[in-house]
Amino acid sequence: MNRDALLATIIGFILGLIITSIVIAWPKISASFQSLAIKMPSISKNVTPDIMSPQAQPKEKQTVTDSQPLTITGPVTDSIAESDTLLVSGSATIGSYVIIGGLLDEAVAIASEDGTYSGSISLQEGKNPIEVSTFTDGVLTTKTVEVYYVQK
Amino acid sequence: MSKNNFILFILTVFLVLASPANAQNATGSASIGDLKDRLATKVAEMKQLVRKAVWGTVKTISAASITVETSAKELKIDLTDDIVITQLIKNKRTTLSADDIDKGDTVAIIGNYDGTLDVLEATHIVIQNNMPVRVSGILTDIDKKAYTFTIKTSDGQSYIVDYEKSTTTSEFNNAETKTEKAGFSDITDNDVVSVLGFPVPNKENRISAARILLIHTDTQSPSPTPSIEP
Repeated sequence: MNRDALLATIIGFILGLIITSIVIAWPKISASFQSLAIKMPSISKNVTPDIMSPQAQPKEKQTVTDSQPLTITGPVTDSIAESDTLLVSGSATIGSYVIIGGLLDEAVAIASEDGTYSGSISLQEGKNPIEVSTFTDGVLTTKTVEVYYVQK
Repeated sequence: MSKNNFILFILTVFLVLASPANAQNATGSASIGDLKDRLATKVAEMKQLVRKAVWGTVKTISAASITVETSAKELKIDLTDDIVITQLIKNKRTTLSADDIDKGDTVAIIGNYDGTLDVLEATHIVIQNNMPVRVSGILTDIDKKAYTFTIKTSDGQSYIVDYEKSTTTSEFNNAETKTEKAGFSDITDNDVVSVLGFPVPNKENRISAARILLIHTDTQSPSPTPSIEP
């Protein structure tokens, strides 16, 4: 092999190596460029950014208030109960009456100081529609869940 | 650069470029293999049976399956060999056979749902025709002669409730935080009333009461129960 041929081989090898390295490392290189990019704040037409509002205050930690909507945290609707006694729980306005009504019986609970309630009712085989009602300041609110149960 | 040298240069570049490409192909094969594995796992997951309960009306009946119309769709129900079919007859749990299921029956079905075939393999069927309804509201009117009263529900609907001889009534005693036996004479204005009963045929928003729970809001004011400290 003469000198020119050896030079052509070496240059070709180096050039090929550079092109290959760029192709292989391209995703990492492009990611690095993106991370270096300066993030500009996006300003929506309907939303005023916090930096433009001198009165913007940090969000306060959410606390239990006297008045809060009725929720049923358990059981989940259409769930299958394992036993014929079911504990129904959730949240309601502090001190409000909560009536839990099933097919076989009812339970009355008074929402506690942390705005939660719970009560047990009996289940019959099949579908059990459960109605939870709360009465506060002359206003009645009702929610329902359905639970299934079969004897094993 | 001579012609031969130029060809040698091109060949070298090609070879250097080709070798990582082959490696990439090997990685690609591995990716396809990985994709196949994940696809197979997903299919296996989908084939897994999920315990599920449905509620609906029986539409068709055949030897080994029935079709039930639920609120969302018609669903095929496979009747397994060890299926348990029950119904409350005169307040007694009665075990039945698949032959006792009729078209138009309202049923609760519990079984194993096959998502790939959209079939529920039933393990339990409970026939629940004539389900009672529950209505809760604030008492707005009472007719002591006719033994009826009217309640207004949270959505503004008014219901007339027939108090029957068989109706059982209880009231919540706030002082002792328990329910006690009561009667029609204990029902007063502005009570919160929860009624379980059956719709009166051909009379809209009228219920024949089976069970009534009263809370006297005028004379009782609840105090919140202390929260349980951990």
